[in-house]
Amino acid sequence: MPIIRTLTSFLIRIVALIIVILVLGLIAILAAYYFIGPSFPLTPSMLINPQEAIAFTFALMDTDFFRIVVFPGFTFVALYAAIAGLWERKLLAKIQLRVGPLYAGKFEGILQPIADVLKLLFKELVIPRVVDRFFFIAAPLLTVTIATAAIAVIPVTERWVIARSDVGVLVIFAVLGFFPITALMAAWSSNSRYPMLGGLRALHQMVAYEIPLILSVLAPVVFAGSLNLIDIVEKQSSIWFALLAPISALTFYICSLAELERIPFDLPEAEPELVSGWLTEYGGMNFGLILGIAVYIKLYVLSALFTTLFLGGWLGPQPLPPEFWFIFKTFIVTTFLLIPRGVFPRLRIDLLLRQSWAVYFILALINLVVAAAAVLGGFKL
Amino acid sequence: MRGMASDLLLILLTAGFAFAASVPFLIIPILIAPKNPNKPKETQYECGQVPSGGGKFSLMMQYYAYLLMFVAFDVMSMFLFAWGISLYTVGLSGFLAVILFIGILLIPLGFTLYHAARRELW
Amino acid sequence: MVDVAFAVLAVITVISAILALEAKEVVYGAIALALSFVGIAGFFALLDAVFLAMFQLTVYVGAIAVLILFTVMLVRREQWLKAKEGVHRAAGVLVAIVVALGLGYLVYASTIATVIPSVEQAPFTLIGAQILTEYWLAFITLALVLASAVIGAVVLAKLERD
Repeated sequence: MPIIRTLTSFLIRIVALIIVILVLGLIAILAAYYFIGPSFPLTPSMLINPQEAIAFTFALMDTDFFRIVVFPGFTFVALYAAIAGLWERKLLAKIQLRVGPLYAGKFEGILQPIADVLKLLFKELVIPRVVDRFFFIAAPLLTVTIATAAIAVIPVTERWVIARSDVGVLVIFAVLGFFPITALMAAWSSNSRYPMLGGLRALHQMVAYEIPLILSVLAPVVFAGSLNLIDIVEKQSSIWFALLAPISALTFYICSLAELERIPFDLPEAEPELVSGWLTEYGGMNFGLILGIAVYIKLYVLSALFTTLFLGGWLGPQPLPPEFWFIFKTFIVTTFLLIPRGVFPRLRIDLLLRQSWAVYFILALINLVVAAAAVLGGFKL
Repeated sequence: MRGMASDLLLILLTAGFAFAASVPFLIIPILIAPKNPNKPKETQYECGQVPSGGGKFSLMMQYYAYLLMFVAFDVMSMFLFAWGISLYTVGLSGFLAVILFIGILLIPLGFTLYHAARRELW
Repeated sequence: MVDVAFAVLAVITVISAILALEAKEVVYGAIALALSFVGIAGFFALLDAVFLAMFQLTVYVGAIAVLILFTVMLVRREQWLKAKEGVHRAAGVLVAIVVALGLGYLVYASTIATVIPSVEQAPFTLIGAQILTEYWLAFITLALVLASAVIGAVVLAKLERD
């Protein structure tokens, strides 16, 4: 009977899934062994003496492994991405006078991201026969990989940063330069017209708005005198750079809307025109990787960068810890990046490109020159 | 100066971990999701019509000038970064050199935008 | 450790550069070219010139590789020319090997044969300071070259359209 056949094949697949998860868990434990040290200090005496366990936990939190995997690293960003996804849908719903996801979980649909991930995992991974298989599967993986590389230099506090690089700001630009390549790869590999058109539009838009983004970051760098993101935050202890260089902050905000392909710069994904833009041929978890995780990781990177450069990072009044201030400010910036989707119409491609080169580029340059003149004239922080 | 390569190694490790953590997300659907290939699902999507013609083409050649300008201005912004961090040591003469640099590079920008506005194409 | 990283980067760079020329699909070749640029940025990072490595990644991979990829996607396959099989290809490979051996011998017999990892390095703020004070003439010439390149490209596009 067909129902029994599909049921047994389904059960076989679930068993295979459990085996794969166990094997991956084993690899993770071995990796933890390797990173933490040759003498893995989990001893049975920790069960009796809790002080040792506490000391071990604190020592674990200072290692690079913990930072990459858990706190300012991948798990934190993935959780932020999930929460931002739910928050976007609820926010848009409230703007459009509806309710948003309501049924998953007891309280206002709070388990919706988990439901979405589970649904996408169970969907068929359709790979059309005419696509270039290698690039079709590699492009979403590369996008997630490159977006995560940028979170390594963003400081949540002075303690919680993965890589204290002296060229931190330039790492972000190097990472942003990779995104047109992955978008073009994804568009070209799906051998079809809608993705090609969407991919070209995405390329032109991302490329045109990268220059004003780079120039608007230069004003805080000039004020702080260093490219290290930790130094930039520490120099803002008297006054935030958003008040000293407001036009740069505004330009950065608008250019991040364009880099994230959000409305009003939604043309690569224009729903009534291009079906789904350069994502048309993607289905199942392939789609979830690009549209779900990578876009929200980029959202986190740009919001955290805005907070670090213009809003004073983790500095805030004392009774609340600095980590809270950073997350709070980043969340407010994310809200402001999500709101235009419910408010603005979409810009046409030639108006979009001409506006970038004619307006935002000049604005960022003006603010840069004024900032440099002020610093040369003796303005010290 | 601490711009050491070990920081870059940490950045590569972060990226590598993200890659390793997203590969299972692609393997799991292959294992447990159903597989029913049929002809309409496997061709390209053209809103319900039968797809015709090739898929690889370019329709936006008129914006090629913007890509060329991007290359030149990317180099310019990197040099402005090299100036921005050494602002104190360079003083007023360096500032004038940079103003001259930006001024020279604004000429092709104005040229391109003028022709774009005049021909109403770009 | 440095030697291992150097060997890995060298293999990646050279193989992707060879792939960039020899790949059957030209788009694969363009992506391989971008990979070889990333390898060169890795070399800069090994020599502790981190600023230059980021510069290379932003300009070469972020701008030039994108431009090459976009251009390569537009050309149809029958328009590409390749060297004929046989004598021409063998002669080309032979010349490449001879040049590589000669350059390798020159480098190996000179003083730059080993990477010395612990020399006192100049801070990269010095790059900007030197460009603007000592080498300002080269800086302004750079601006003129870039400006003329852009204006030339736009004029050529206009002439072709008219």
